[in-house]
Amino acid sequence: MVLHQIFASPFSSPAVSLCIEGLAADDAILLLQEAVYALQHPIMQQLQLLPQPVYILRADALARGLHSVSHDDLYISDAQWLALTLTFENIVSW
Amino acid sequence: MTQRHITIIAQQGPYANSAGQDALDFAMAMANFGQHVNLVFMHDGVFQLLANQHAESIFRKDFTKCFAALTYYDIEPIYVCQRSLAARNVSPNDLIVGVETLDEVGMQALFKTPQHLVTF
Repeated sequence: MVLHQIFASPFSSPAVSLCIEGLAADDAILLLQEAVYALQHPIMQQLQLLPQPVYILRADALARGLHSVSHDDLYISDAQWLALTLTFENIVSW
Repeated sequence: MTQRHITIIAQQGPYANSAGQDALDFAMAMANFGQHVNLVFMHDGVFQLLANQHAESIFRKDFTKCFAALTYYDIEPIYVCQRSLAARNVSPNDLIVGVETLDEVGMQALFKTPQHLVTF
């Protein structure tokens, strides 16, 4: 039960696809900082088809002008992020 | 002072590090010293130009509002790589300032002209 926190832009790093490859059934993915640019990347379709939960840090998307209505269900607040880190057994940062 | 052609390439997102702010500072400093500056945005650098950024939500200063002032430094047009925009599903209409988009040939021409090429 691992929370995968991805920080790097999918346009310059393979982190998102590498993370998806090794994902366990009870894992989850959180996109933050430059990784929120996944919203503009084809990998987003792949992320949305995953059975595992995918989250996006709202503050980082908002800062970068990416806050779109279409993915509104994926966004979490800083407080929800904190709650996630307490829920999962381990955290991996990519 | 001799006027030289300086091309500055911004190729990283706005808030990962200080590269975006540095490119802007460098461009304005060079223009202040009477140099001829071309400012080019490519790769993730095109994200610097997105409108509707709210940097205050991550406690950062929104330096991208300064792009509108570049015209007063004679840094115009602002060049943007067409290919980078298309790859990121960004339209020129989504940007905070008017830009001139460049195809491959245009980008190659821009790389040939300058006496100095600096990437951030």
